[in-house]
Amino acid sequence: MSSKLLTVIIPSRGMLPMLEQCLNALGRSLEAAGVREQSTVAVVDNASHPPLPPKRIAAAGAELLRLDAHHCFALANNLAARRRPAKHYLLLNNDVLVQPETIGEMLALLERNPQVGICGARMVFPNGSLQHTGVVFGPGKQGPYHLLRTRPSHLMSRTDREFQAVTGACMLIRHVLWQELGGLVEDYPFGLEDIDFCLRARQKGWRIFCCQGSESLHFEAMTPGRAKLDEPSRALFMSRWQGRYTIDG
Amino acid sequence: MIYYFLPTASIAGGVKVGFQFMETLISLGARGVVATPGGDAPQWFACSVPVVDRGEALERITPQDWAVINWPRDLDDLAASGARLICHVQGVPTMERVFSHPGMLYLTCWEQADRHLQQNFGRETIPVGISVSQCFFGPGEVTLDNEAAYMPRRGLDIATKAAHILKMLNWRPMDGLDEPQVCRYLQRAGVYLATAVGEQFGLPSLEAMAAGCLVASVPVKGGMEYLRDGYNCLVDEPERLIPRLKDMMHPSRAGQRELMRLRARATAYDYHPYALKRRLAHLLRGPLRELID
Repeated sequence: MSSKLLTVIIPSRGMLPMLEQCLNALGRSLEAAGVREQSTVAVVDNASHPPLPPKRIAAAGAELLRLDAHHCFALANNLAARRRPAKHYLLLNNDVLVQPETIGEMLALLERNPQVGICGARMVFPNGSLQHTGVVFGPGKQGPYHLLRTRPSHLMSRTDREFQAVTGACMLIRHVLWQELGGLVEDYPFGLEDIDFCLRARQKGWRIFCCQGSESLHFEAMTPGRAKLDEPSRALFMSRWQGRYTIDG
Repeated sequence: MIYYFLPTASIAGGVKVGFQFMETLISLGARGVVATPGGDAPQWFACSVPVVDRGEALERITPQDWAVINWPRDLDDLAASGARLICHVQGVPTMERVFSHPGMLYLTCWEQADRHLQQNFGRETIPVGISVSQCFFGPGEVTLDNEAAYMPRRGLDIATKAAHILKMLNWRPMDGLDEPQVCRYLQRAGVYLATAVGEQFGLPSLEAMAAGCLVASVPVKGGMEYLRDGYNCLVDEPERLIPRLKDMMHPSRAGQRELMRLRARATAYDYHPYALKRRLAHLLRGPLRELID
C-alpha cells in the first residue's frame, strides 16, 4: 500500500464548474487539516462528453482517471481506490463543498476511535436546512432515509453520533475496512451502494459515526440522469436488505 | 467480536432483551452482532444492532470470539465452534445442559435466575439485568383510569373473568403488536392485567410500570424483584387478584391508585436504558473487560 494518508475519490460526469468549486473547497479543507501533502485527490471522469480537461483538473490539485464508457458510481470509486491506495478513502460527490474544518474533524474522529470504520459528515442544502446528519431505517418499505432532512440545521444537535449508515456523498473509510469488504458493490445502478457498504461494515463489527462539528454544503442529485437510476437501485437494495436491518427510524 | 445467537427475530420478550443487551454493549465499545436464522432482523421494536445469518456467523466465529447462547439447542453448535461461551440467562427451564456445561460465563437478567444458577448448579454468575425501552418512559397518551390492557396469549380465561367482573373498565387486548403500538396502548391504559401464571419473564409488566399503569399480576417466576405487592402493584393468585383489583378500582381509592402508579414508574426507572448502560459500563471495566477487544 502507498504511504499516503488519504485518497479523495470524486467521480464526475461532466459538471466541470461545479467540480472545480468542489476541488477548491476540498483543497482548503486538506490544507486546514494539514494533510495536503499526504493526500491524493482522484477525479474519476465517468465518460463525460466532452471529457474533463486534464489541465484544469491538475490546476485544481487533482489527478484525473478517465473511464471511456459510463459505469456505475461504485465501479468508479473502486477503480480509484485500487489505483491510488491509501490509509483512508474519502468518497466525495462533485456537488459537495466541504468546510475547511470538515476533513480534519473526520480524520480526528477515526484517529480517536479505532473501532470506527466509517465517518460521515453533516451537510446542509444551500437554504441552510439539513441534507444529512446520518441515515436511519424505517419499517416496511420506508427503508433507509436521512434523519432530520430539511429541518433547520441551526436548531439540531451538534453531537457526533453513531448510525447504522451515512451517505457516500462525503464518507471517510479506513483502507482496512475497504479491503475487508472488497469496496463498493457494483450491482447498484446509482445510489444505495453506500448504504449497502455501511450495513456490511457493521456486520463485521465496525462502527459508523457522523461528524456534526461543521456543516458542508451539498446541492444533491445534480448528475444528469441520476433520478431514473434511483428506482432500480432502491429495488435492488430492498430485495437484498429489507428485513435484515434493524429499525431505528 | 461478540456473536449473540437467537433462534428467531419475531415477537418475544427474550428477543428484545437480547438485542437491547447487545445494543448497550456496542454503544460502550464492544464489537458485536446478533445472529439469527436467515439473518432476519426484528422489525417490531427500535434498535440498531447489526444482524447476520446464523450459518454465516458459525463459519466466521473463531476461538478469539465470544458466542452468546440463550437457547439450549444452540449449545452443541456453539461449543463446537471453539468460541468462548457466554450464557445470557433470561429464563431457566430446559437450560440444564447449558447450565451444566463447563467453561461458560453466566450473565443473569433476573435475581431469580441468579439464585437458581448459584443454588442448583453452583455457578458463579454476573448479574447484568435488563432494560425497558425508552419509549415507555416518555410522555405519550393521556392515561385513562378506566382503560385496562392485557395480553391474551397466556391466561385468557383470567382476563375474561376479570372483564366480566370489572365491567366498569374498557378492556383492550394486546397481541401481535409492534413496540410503538404496545407503548401507545400501555400509556393510555390505567391498568395492566398480567395473566401468565408462572411467567419466566415478566417484561410486559415492567413496561407497563414504566408507562405508568397500575399493574395487577398473577404470581410469576421472573420479575418478582420489581413486583412489590401492595406497594407498586397488586400480585396475587387469580381468584384473589380480581376481587382485589375490583376493590382498588373503587372511586374512593383513586388517590391510592395514582400513588401505586407513581411508585411503579419510579421502580421502572431502575430499568431505564441508562441504568443498564451504567451497570454494563461498570462491569466492562471489571469482570467483563475481556468483552471489549
